Amino acid sequence: MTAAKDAQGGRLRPARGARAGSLAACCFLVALVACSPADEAASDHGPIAEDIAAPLGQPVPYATATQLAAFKRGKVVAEHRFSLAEGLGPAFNVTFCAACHEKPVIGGSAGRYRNFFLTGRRFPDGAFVPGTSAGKSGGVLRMYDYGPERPARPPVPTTTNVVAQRNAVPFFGVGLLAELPGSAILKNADPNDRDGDGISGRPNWDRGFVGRFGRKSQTVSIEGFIRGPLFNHLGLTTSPLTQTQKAALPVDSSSDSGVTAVHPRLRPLSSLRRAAQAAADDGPLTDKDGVPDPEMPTEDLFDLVSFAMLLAAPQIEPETPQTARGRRTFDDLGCKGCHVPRLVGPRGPLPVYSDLLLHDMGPELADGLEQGDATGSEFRTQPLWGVSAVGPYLHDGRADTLRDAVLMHGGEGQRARDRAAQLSDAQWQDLEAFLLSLGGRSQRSLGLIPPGTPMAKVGAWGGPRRALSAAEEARFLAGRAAFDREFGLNEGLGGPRMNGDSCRACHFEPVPGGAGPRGVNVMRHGFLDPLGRFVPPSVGTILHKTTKLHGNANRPQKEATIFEHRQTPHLFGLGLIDAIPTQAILAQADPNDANGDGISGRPSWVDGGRLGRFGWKAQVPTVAEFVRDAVTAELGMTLPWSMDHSFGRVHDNDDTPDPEFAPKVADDLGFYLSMLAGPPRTPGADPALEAQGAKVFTQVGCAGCHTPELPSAWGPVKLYSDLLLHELLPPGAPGIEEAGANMREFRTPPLWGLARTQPYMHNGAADTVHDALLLHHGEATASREAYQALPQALRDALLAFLRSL
Amino acid sequence: MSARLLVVATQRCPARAHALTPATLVVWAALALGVACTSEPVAEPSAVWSEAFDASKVGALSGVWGVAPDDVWTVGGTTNQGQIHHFDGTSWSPVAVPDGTPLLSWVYGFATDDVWVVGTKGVALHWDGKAWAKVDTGTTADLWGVWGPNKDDLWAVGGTVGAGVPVILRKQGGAAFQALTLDPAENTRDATAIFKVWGIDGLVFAVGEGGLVLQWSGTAWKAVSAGAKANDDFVSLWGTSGSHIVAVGGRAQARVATWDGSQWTTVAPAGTPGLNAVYMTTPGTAVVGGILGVAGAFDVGKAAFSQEETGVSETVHGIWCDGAGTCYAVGGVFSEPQRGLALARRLQ
Repeated sequence: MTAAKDAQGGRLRPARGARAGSLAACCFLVALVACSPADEAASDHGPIAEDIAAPLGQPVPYATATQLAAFKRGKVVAEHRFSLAEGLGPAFNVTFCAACHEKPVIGGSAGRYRNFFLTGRRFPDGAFVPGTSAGKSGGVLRMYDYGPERPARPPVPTTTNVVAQRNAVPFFGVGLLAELPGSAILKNADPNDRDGDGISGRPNWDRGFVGRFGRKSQTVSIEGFIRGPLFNHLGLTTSPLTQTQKAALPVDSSSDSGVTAVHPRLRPLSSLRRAAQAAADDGPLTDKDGVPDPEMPTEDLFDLVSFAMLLAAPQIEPETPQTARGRRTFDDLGCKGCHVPRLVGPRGPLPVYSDLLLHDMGPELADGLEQGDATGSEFRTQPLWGVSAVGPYLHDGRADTLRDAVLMHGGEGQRARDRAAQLSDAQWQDLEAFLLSLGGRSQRSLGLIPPGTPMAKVGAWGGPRRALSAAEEARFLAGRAAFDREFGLNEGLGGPRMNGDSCRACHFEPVPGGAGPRGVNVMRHGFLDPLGRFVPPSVGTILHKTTKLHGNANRPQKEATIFEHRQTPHLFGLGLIDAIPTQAILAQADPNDANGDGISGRPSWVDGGRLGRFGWKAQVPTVAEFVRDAVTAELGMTLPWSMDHSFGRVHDNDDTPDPEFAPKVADDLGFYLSMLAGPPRTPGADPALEAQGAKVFTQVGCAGCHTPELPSAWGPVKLYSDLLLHELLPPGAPGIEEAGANMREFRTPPLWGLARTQPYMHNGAADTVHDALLLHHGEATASREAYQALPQALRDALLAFLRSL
Repeated sequence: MSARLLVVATQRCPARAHALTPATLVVWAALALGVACTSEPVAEPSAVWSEAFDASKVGALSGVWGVAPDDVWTVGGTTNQGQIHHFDGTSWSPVAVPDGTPLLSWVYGFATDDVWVVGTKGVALHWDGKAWAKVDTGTTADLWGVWGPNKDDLWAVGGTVGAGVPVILRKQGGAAFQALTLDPAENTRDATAIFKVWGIDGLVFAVGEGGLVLQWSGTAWKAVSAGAKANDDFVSLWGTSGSHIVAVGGRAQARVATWDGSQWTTVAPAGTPGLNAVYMTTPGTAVVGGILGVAGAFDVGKAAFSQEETGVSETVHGIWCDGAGTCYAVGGVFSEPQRGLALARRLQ
């Protein structure tokens, strides 16, 4: 085949002449050697099957109208934030599928902030058994629990001795991989390295079929690959699809669909045409959270599986002189020994750039986890199609860049890695250009905001609070980009612990700058001394979600007994709150309840007598310091020293030079946040009802803390908060002390933006505003009781009013 | 269901099992030209699976056991309604269960009028030759296995998978079931459930979650290592002597453990799906079944599995052979809508 025929992205059918030649050779060698005309076409960067590719996140071009309808519905399911009432939990990591499959679009992968822990126990007899976390979880550690009798952070069993991280894998093109016959994968297997190239790929097996999904190819069916994470990460129970539903999936998954991919030992004996995609767990999953099982109807599961199966393959770019040089370098290095350019499915050659086989990647990458036949140092060759848009790289996202990833290869990849280490800068650029040409480059950004997205309108969600000059707009957009971008380990991310790798990681509901769902809650912890006093752990009250230490599950210190979720609040209107005069806030204070109304708001004095106004405990005084505090506490990064700001760490112990957060980036970020408009009101269809609700709001006493507006130099700020501390937890309830706030005190959270920033309360325990009202205790007890005593019509009016804020 | 016929033939040269498909016949013909074989292939009895009775409407079936070829029981049902069927040598028929009997999981007995069944929610039933009656077990945990060395010494095991600790019950003579606490130090796989108990020649073993194998010492249950591959659930076990016992399990990938009289050894035969059911017909052969309708013979000496065509895709949960040439395999689909499966295997 000529080089011209090999052109990347040519979407050519297999060359007829080449096939004819192969056929002749096959005939000549019949019964002596295995020979397949399709194999020849797949042996290199050859033609690609037609109509399989589209921009990332789009459906395959061959989808029927019925399938497209299922694709759209499935995407809605993938984006849906599940509530506790819908069956989320009891323990979970995230609240929606797209949480971990969002980059650069839904169906993709995710930044490090979505990394999760896989654990297990290695026994003295050598056996490895997956770990548990608040029950069976397939080894997945769950980060959150809302069970009233259980800790908010499920404990890691003390017997757990194997811990590893996983970065999410993208789903692009998985339906095409599902169609692959097992033989297409097995043809590249060389378990005993008979060809002596140092590469000995071998298959993993799942229920007798060749595995192909997951970092260790441990799963064969997409239904199985979805039902497992739904349970392990969301706590959502499902029942298997019915045979009728399986047969209607885009990749027929019924038991006798005819797509065979069984182990050679089984194949000759099976006259029943078993489908690899039928090999999903046939048992229903159940839990004990009070929500009837299955919590996700099989109709929704069908749509979700359809969505995954229909996600198109990434579009390979046409070859350029540079990418051609890079391709040759790729070949010369030996990369294609594992990253096989083509696998041949029923639609033709697929540019997967993976053999989907297991390879020993050496001790540095080994994670100790066994899955199926995969050992602790074996991993599936990660497909490279679409690789430009789905970093970070390697199984745990330890590599910031493609170059880092190549140079971290060991084991069977060591030889190629060592050759790569000798490349010149120009050769590296060519190689990287080639890899980036394998799909998705135009959709790549440093975060999740698509390239070229304009600034939102003044006063809109995520827009500025006033018209901006051109220079200000540029600064605002720079700040937005800084807010959105995911920082890398090479940039000092993680100190070593972290909750996120970007600001947007936690603040994105409904748009960047917003609130966060439960899956990005910050966990606070501590313990009580014998006198019942709160004692913070030596590492501080934040129990970080993840760490750059790959084998460290970041356990709390053993004394910790109090765990408290902190829901991510939205940041809209922060600059307006900053502009409220201190005296206006202090004027609301009544620390000794002198007026006898049962409400005794008091100011939060922090850091030498400054008034705190930001954070759940009003622990931060200014927007600029709020930024500094978050950069250090949540991202684990250092900042420039500042005489005016006491928050934020300026030095840490990692290898990245301090400050890790550049001064200009910090300035842009501060400007962006101070300029964000307050949430736009969201009036409903019945203004009269909302007006009635506004009166009820005052009548039941809500306004006693949720002050409708406070003055500022720019006019009244309609935030519905007094920014003071109030006791809100029931008497005797343990909590976290922070700054000037005691265990049961919280700042009155502003109510503006309520309708689109659920869940509610400091710990996100309330699915709805109604639920939140019922969780008010302490100083709010009288108001809660007044609400409970309201006739339903007045309750509805109040709720309509609150939703309009 | 239409029974599909498969011929499993064994040749003396080479001594391996092959399906006699057109493709293999071609290969055989080609090999015959270039390879000197010392003898012609000799056909051995082939296993033919067919439907024992239509169980599609009775819920999923879990266990099967019999006193004799004409006195066989199978149990199962739906989540809230247990079902028991009996084979009298001619036909299978349903047998009434006490009101409120939930899904049943396993059956074992000692005589035609002394048969035990256990199931979910701690239920135990006893057959006295006339009717099934509930017997209090003192637990509400799911029970997955029942067995005893004699009619005055009965063991039942279980546990709610994923929560709590394994349940071990013993009933001696006319006394009530007594719960035994498994020493946490012996629960070396952190199991929450034990799935089966079985024994022979004075040995009693129990198997369960995570590859846990326990042995009864006479006074306590002690963990026994079955090796590094004993890292997935063992679901059931059977044997022919104190030196020939096989336990099977694995969820996605099969695990087969063999006891040779002194130790357990576990293999994970590549490409063999998870197994649930085992019955040993000879010291060297176990008839096994598992997910996706997989069933066949496991050669203990070679640690090799030979699949036989069942013609079904439902999961096989229990197997019992009557000693007269027939094995029964039961199973089905346990998710809604539950559907049962009852097969018979005969050698031809």
